Amino acid sequence: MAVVWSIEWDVAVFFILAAIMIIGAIAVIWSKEIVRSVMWLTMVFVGVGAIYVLLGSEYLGIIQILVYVGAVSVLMLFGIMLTKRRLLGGDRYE
Amino acid sequence: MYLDLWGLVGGLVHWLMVDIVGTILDWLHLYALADWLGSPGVLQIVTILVVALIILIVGMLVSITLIWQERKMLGRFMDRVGTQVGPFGLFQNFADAFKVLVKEYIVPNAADRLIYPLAPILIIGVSMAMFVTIPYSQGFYMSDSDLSVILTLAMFGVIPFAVLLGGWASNNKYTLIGGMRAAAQTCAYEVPLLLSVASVVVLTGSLSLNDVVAYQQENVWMVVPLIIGFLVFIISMISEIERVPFDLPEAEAELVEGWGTEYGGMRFGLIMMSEYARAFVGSSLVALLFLGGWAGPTFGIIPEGLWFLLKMFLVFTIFIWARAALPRVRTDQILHICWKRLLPLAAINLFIAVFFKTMGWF
Repeated sequence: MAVVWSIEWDVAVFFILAAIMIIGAIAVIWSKEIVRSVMWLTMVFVGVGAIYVLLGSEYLGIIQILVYVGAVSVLMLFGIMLTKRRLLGGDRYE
Repeated sequence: MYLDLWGLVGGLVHWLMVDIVGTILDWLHLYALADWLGSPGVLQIVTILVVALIILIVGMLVSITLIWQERKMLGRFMDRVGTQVGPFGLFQNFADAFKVLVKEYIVPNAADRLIYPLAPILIIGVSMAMFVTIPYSQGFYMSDSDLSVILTLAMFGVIPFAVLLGGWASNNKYTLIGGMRAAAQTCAYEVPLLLSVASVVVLTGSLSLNDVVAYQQENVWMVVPLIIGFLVFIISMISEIERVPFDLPEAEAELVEGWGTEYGGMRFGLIMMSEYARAFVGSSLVALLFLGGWAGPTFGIIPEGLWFLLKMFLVFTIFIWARAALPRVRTDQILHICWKRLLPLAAINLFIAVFFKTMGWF
C-alpha cells in the first residue's frame, strides 16, 4: 500500500515559522556585529508572535510584537549604542 | 449607504473565474484545471488578494492626496501658490515620484550591506500593513478583527526599531543621532498614546474599530466626554509620525535630513511615502476613535466613507496648521512634555473615563 504524503496547512506553516526562527536563533550567535544579532533576535520574536497567532491566541501574539519588537529590542539597541564601542569597522571609539 | 467591498469582490471573482475562465477551459476540455480554479479555497485566496490590492491602492491614493494637501496648504500659509503641475497642482506628486524612481541607487561605502537596504523595506512594509485595519465605512474594510485598535498601535511600535536600524546602518553620525532621537521620542510618546486609547476602550468596551464607531453612532462622539484624551492623542500622534513641532529626528537645521540622510533615490521616496502613509493612519485613528468615524447625516445617498475621509482630512489640516504655526521643540524639552505634561493628563483622562463608566453616564 502506497504511503500518501499529505500535510495539514497549519502544520506546514508551523514548520516554515519554526525554520525561520531556528535560522534566526543561529544567526544571533553567528553574526560578528552585535546590532545584527539584535536584528536576528527580533526576527525570532516576530516568529514567536506568529506562532501565537497560529495557535489561535491573537491577543498574545499582538502583545508579543508590541512588547518585544516595539520595546525590548529598541531597549537592547539603546543599550548597545549608548555604551562605548567601535563604530562599524572604525578604529576610533565613538 | 456603503459599498460592501468583500461581497462585491467575491461576486466579481466568482463571475470571472467560474463563468468566464471556467467556460473557456471547459471548451478547451481542461476540466480538471477548470474545477481547481472554481474550488472554494482558490476563489477565497484570489478574493483576499484582490481586496488587499484595492485597499493598498486606495490607501496610497489617499496618502498622495495628503501630500498634495500639505504642499498646497503650506504654500498658502507661506503666501505662495504651492504645487502647480496639472489641475490644482494634483499631478506634481506623480511627477516627483517619477523623478525619484529613475534616480541612481547609491549605497554609501561604509554602510552595513545587510541592514541598509532592509530598513526602508521594514518601514514601508509596516506602514502599508497599517492600512489593513482601517475601516472606511461599514462595508469597506480589509479586516474586521476584534483587536484592530491594538493591532494598529502594535505596528506603530515596530517603526522606532526600523528607524534606529536604518540610522545605524547608514554609518553616519547625523543619521545615528536622528535614529536615536526618533526611537527615544516615538517610544516615549507611545505611553500617553496608549493610555488615551485605553480610556476610549473603557467607555466603548471593545477593541474593534468597527464596534467603537458603532458605539459612537448610537451614543456620543468620544471627543465630548474625553476632550483631554483627544488633545493628548493628537499631540502624541503628531510626535509619533514625526511631524513638525516634534520633528527632531529630521531637524533640517541640525541634522542634514535626520536618520534618512544617506537614503537616496527611490528609498528616499519610499521613506517619504511611508511617513504620509503613517500620517493617514494616524489621522484616521483620531477620526475613528474620537470623532465618530463615518457617523454623519447620509440622507440615504451620501456614502459613509465620504464622511470618514472628510473627518480624516480635517484632522490632517490641524497637523498642517501646527506645522505652519509652531516652532520646533528643543531636544531637552521633548521628553519633559511627554513625561511631565502628557502622561499625567492621560492618566487623569483615564480616571474620568472610569468615573463615567461606573456612573453609567455614557
